[in-house]
Amino acid sequence: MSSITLQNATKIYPNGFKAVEDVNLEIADGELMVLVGPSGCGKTTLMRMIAGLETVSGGKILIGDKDVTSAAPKERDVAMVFQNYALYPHMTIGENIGFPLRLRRVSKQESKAKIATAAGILGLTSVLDRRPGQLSGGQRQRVAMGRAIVREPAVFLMDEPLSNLDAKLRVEMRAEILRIQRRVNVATVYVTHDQTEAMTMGDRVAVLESGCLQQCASPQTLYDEPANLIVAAFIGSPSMNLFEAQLSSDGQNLKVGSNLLAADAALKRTPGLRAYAGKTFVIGLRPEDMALATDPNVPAIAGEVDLIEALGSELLVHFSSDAKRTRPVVAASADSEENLPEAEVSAKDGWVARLGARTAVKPGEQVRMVPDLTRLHCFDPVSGDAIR
Amino acid sequence: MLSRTERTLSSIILLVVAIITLYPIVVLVTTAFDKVGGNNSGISFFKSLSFSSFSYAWTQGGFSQYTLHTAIMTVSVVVLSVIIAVLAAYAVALLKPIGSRLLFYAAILGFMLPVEVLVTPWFYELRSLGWLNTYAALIVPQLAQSIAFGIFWMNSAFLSVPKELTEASVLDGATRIDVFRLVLLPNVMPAVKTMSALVFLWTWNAFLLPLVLVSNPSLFVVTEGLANFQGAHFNNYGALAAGAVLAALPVVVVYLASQRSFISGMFAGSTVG
Ligand SMILES: Nc1ncnc2c1ncn2[C@@H]1O[C@H](COP(=O)(O)OP(=O)(O)O)[C@@H](O)[C@H]1O
Ligand SMILES: [Mg+2]
Repeated sequence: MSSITLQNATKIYPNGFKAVEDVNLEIADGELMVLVGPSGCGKTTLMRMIAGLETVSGGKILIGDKDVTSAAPKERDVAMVFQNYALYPHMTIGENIGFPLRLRRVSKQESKAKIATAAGILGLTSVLDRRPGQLSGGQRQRVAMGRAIVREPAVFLMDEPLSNLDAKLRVEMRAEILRIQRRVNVATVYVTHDQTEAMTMGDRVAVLESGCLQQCASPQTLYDEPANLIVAAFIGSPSMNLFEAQLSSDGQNLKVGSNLLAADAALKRTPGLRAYAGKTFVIGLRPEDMALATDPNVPAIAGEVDLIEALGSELLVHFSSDAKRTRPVVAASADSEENLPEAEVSAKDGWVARLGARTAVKPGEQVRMVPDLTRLHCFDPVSGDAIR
Repeated sequence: MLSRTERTLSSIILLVVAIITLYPIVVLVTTAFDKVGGNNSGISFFKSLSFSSFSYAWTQGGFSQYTLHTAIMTVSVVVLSVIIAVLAAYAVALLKPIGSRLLFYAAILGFMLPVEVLVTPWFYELRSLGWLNTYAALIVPQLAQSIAFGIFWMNSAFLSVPKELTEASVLDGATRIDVFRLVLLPNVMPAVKTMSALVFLWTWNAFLLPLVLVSNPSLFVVTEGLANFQGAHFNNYGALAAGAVLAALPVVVVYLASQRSFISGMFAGSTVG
């Protein structure tokens, strides 16, 4: 059992592509660290560097206090669950799980006991004599886990282990993986491109984009205090409303499109904003931090309702205003559609507000939304960094 | 769905093809069961059921010796080519040492060239080595060709094993030899079986190379023996047919025995990565 330390880890592929750049990260013993980011951002590469399947172009990797930067995979005592499980098709489930023990010349008797224990934990006892081809996706997933935990590795790596399962099974397996991780209690790196999965599973979550670590923090911190536009846009579903705004030179008003809001609450939360007086910057508002104006005199953002998604417990109200929307510049990836937060797929380039299920609004209606400026996020328009 | 007429029509076509294919085989087999000398005028159709033609071909005809020579040649070529080609293809596909691409293209050339092109160079080569009329003459050229084919065949088999499987086993603690023995080899086994069967069939049936390189009747293989036998017993159809059946029998047995892996292996080997 040990921690994992990445120091300025960098990977440049032979074709010159920089897949991972200067990543610094420390995963404590027993911690479950989720590595999240859109596909193509370098998650798999980083994980393979930890496993020793990919050479390290720069920086260092430590497991415990041992520098393993150039150690062979075998010497690292790392177990990995592959995205497609990588089960040995010619071996039975029992042989698959016991394979690491067989390679370590563990006695038949001991290995049998360990396989039985692992199979018990994973609910595979009845299928030990079958072959991988005869199992369902969820069962194969468990076998891959079993093979990883049976030898009690120092470090546990999982690369999108749930991405091949259907939605319902995915939710079930999330809980199961958490349970098993707590039980084996080793430093774990869990890779996913699904921010919901990241938020629900991680002790801490590291957001990766274009090979660079954007922020590493607890799920709540990522949600409440995103370090930059990329994290702000990636974490949360529907994602944060990001629009251009100006602070008047006297620091009194916040101008969002043609709407004027009082700036004092925002300035109180974000003192750094004073430096932006008379300038344009980016504001971010979570959908739940907006409410329908009841008093026509209260400063609000005026707009027209485009679409309403009724989720039963709440309404997602999409509306457009005359404010200019901002998107963080995210490197395009082949299947970027899949990674777009849900709200961005729907309707127009507008705002999303999360309102109570019984709120009386209709599509086409003119509305005025009052933002909770005590929860306003502000970002520098050029660097994308949060203004604090 | 096929319509009724279509189905009937295709059945008829298949039947015709089957008759055309099977007729000579049936004639051959029935003729082989004739008595020796019982028929000097031509082909017979189940006139008798006698093994005398077989025993005549086997003993007087020399087929016992021919079969022995062929068996030694074929088994040597199959065993050696499988061992060498599997190891070489593993290197070409996965270890990729410098120059392995070159070896791979040389291998493709080696089995693509028709044997008619190669037989003359082989003749001069083996003559200068003094290997004509030896087992080396029977084995070495065909071994070379089989290895060339085997490298090509096994290369695609190794490439079709998912990379993650090897990587998973490395993380599980496998050495390079463990990976080869416990993960790769079992996964390419269908292709190994297919390769063995193909090489067996080609080598057993080889004619031109043995004909040119082994002219001494005391080292004849079945195909040469049959040709020779035909000259000597041109009117003894029963013995001729029996000789042909004896020459073909091992091929049929091997084909039937390996049919299943043969066909699945054809597909396994064909998914080139
Ligand atoms: N062997 C390679 N050679 C060159 N580029 C690669 C190689 N493997 C991956 N890449 C590139 O590196 C980037 C990161 O890949 P990967 O780590 O697989 O991303 P993720 O797992 O986050 O989807 C991608 O843009 C991918 O195209
Ligand atoms: Mg990946």
